[in-house]
Amino acid sequence: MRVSTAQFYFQNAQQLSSLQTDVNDQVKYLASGKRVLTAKDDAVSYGTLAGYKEGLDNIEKYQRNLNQAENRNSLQEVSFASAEGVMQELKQLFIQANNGALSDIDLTALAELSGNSQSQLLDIANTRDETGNYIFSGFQVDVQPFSLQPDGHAIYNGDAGVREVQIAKNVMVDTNQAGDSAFEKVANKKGDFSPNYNNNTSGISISKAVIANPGAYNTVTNPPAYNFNFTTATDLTVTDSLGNPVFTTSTYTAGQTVAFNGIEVQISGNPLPNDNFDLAPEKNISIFDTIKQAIDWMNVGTNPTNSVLHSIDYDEILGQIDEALNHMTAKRVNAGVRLNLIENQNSNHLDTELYLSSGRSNVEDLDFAKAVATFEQRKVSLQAAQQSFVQIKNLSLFNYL
Amino acid sequence: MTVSLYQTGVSGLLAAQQQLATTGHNVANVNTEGYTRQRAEQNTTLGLNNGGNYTGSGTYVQDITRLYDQFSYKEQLINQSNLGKSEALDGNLNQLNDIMSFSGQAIMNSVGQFYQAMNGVADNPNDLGLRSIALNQTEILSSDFRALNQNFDDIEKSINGEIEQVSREISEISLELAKINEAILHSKNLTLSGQPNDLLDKRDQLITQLSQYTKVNTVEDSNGVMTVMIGQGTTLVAGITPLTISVESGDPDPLQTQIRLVGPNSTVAINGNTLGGVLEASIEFRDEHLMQVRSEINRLAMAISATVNDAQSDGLDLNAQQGTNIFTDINTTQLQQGRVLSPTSNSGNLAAQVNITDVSLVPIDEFEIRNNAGIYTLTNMTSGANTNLGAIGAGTYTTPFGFEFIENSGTPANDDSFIIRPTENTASLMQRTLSNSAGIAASTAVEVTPSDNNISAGKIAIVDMFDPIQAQLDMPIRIDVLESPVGTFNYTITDNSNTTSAPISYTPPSQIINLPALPAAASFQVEISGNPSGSAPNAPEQFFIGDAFGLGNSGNAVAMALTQEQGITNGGKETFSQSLAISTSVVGSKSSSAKLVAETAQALFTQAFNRNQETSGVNLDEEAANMLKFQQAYQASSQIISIANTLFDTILAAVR
Repeated sequence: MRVSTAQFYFQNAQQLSSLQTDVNDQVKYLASGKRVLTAKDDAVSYGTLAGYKEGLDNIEKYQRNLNQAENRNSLQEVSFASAEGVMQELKQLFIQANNGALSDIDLTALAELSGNSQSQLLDIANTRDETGNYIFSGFQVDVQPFSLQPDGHAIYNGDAGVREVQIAKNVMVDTNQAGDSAFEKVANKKGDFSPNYNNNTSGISISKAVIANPGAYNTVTNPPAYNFNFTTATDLTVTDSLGNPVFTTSTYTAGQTVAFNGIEVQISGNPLPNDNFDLAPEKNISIFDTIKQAIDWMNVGTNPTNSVLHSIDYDEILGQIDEALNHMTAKRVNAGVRLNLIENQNSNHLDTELYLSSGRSNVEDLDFAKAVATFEQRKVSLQAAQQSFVQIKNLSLFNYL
Repeated sequence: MTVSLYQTGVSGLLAAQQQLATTGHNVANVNTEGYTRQRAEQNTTLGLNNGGNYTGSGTYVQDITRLYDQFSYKEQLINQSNLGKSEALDGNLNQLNDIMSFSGQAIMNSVGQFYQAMNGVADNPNDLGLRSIALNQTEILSSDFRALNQNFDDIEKSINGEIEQVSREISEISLELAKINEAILHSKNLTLSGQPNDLLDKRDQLITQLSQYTKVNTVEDSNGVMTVMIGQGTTLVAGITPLTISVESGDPDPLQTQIRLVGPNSTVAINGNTLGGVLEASIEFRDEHLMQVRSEINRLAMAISATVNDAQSDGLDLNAQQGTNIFTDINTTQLQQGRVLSPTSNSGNLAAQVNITDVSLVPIDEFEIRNNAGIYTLTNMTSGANTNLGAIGAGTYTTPFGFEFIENSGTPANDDSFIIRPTENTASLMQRTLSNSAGIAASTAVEVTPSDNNISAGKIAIVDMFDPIQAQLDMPIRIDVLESPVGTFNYTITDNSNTTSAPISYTPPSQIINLPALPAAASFQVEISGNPSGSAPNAPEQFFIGDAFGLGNSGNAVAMALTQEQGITNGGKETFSQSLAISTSVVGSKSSSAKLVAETAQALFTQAFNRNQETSGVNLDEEAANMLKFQQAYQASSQIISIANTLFDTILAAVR
């Protein structure tokens, strides 16, 4: 087989050029430390690599959101812890106030201290976060949630909105609690109704008044408020607001459950004739109302007009303060539960991040040992080709003529 | 006798001279491309009859021939075409791969940054700083898309330039070939026995050059005139008549330039896909690979714009106004009209446009709508599938591909056709249209609050918002759901004028309701799901829907941020990142295949070249040896002359 001169040079040029390209490629990989620089380097793995990178980006996003959510929920937890403290203090003061040995001045002093508790709680309810937004206003973050009226009543100016952020692919976490559910919807200790005693000489009080059977509770035919009238100690008539009697008995015994219209009422104590009270629907009692009631009770002084009623009021208010205290604890636990969820998700994400990172590294990163060895090998091939070319080009008959 | 000795010597001398000249010619042309080595054929002259014996009278050079093997030459031509095509394709795809990997990565980063900013807004919706950051990111994202589109435009322009350049070269080669053919014809006509070797070499060299640009076939007639055909048999040089190649603007897309064969009396269109060589590679790259990737990027731009704009319109901004578009609307008149391309060959005067209705169904293929005797047929140009759209004149035609074809004005003539590109121009026209950061619609308009007295696990959720401002005005709405008797669910809707509807049946597991109820116009949609049973007719499950707007309401921003992980393109299966990654991988795999094909083609060409060189190539060592050989022959022949002279002198001396 003949080899022409042109062929010889052409072939050598081809080989040198291709060897040089190889060495060049290796240098590119070594310099960047990556095996996959563009999709051409490994088209099949590129798709997987893109997937890993997307997963890692998502985790970064979730962690940023987790951070924010944690901050907000921590602030809430701290606020509710303070509120708990305030209510404890109020409870102590109120218990102190039930001492017959105290004078009017003492009671007024206690009422003033309670007033401080009220302003403290108001402050807590009107907490602002680092951006100046009110945290308990729901969606109306620029509006102060609670404002105190001249009559001591607190009204809520926000709404019931709850914000959430995404902390994992299918997991959202709330980042605030609305003021109404936090401070206004404290459950009524008695149930669904509150009593208003028109005439109470015996000292009876309502221990329970609930809608036991919502299905049977009909406000159209028998609308509240329901009036309870004891004509004698055993004769009880209950009428609705239209004047219709809804329950009558002549054999009332103390502690008996009075059931009508799906409602169950239990009265404690022994009734006397002409005892009369109304039951009005009140499912929730605002915490501020409870505090106001306590302050008002203390301001009555040592000489109430109806000491029996005054005493009954005390029990009811104390019970409601307890209820409010529990409510604050429950709200704090809410925030705590969310913080727990956040922490769980965080550790899940850290695990996933580890797994994704190592997957990405397996596909993308260069195995330096292998790459350096390949580079040396290619370099040697190039050197050999270059040297052999130089040797052979000197072989020509013309040199010997 | 001595006289004939002179003749013999001289003949040997002359023959040796010609041999040396030929050898010298070979040596001088060792590096000439396409040179076929020549050899002088010597033959003995007829012997003279002298006294019953034939005495030889020397030698003469019969012919100087090229050592040429037409079969290995043709094999080299074929491989040259393949190499030209695969190298051109490899180079172009490599460039496209680089652009997609780096610019594509930039777009992925921009998308990521935008969603990062949106998550910030979702956490703190009334912070103007965070909103500004989000808007800035949309500006960056739009400009990234425009830049990538510009890159594609530049590549297309350079490919078109290359096609024009190559066509010019082919035309010039054609003219040269015709001239050489003529020269060869004339030289053969004169009764010279020699072959015009150098003309033949030049012709072969031109053909080799041509074969890089396109597939070449040649036929030689008895006069040595060669007819040259390119591609699938299109005659480029018919003997001594050259035809040329011209490039003209495409129709209906002017940037898809077409190749035409220009003859003395007429021009004919040539199908670029069958030409082979660099031309076929360029046309294939431009019309197939570049167009596909451009279409995919356009579709991604469309999906992002439409998703963000739709999410905006569902919510309310900081001023309680309905959110306006952040990106250019995907159905502006300019965009709609730009999607329909009408060839000039159409005789009717129909002006039409295409409106996108569902981004998730839009494919990247090109379509053709043709008026077949009064009926529009929609053909997918990639798969060939046909859809019958209906009779002409109906105005708007829906298609199962997420777009509708709309007749604007005029009527089409029979057999008029229109090219439909549903994603055309989206990336180049993508702009940020919202400038006030307060305009980001982070707040939802209304929300559903279940009553505290609800006892079941059924729920009602808002699934679609048509008009958030109207929805606010329709508030409050209450829905009561009751199961009575067991297994039968009914619900009533109480609107904001306190009118309660008659009970409507609900069939679990879920049902969609338009609110407010008829006869009012629906402003949003909710879905009841689960089994909301309620306890008794007086105590149904109650759901209150009320105005939810607030500066701290980030519900819509959350919904917008969640779209990052939703499948949207390709029938709702791919997220934006996945879509882009798939496009990039496809280009990468095409590019790496092209590299392998180019390497194979190079190897095959080298083999064919070697085989050809085996016969026709000059080997300097061989020529050096030949030179010595002929030099000795020359010396020997001159010695004969000297001896003949001596003999003559001897005779003269004898006679004096």
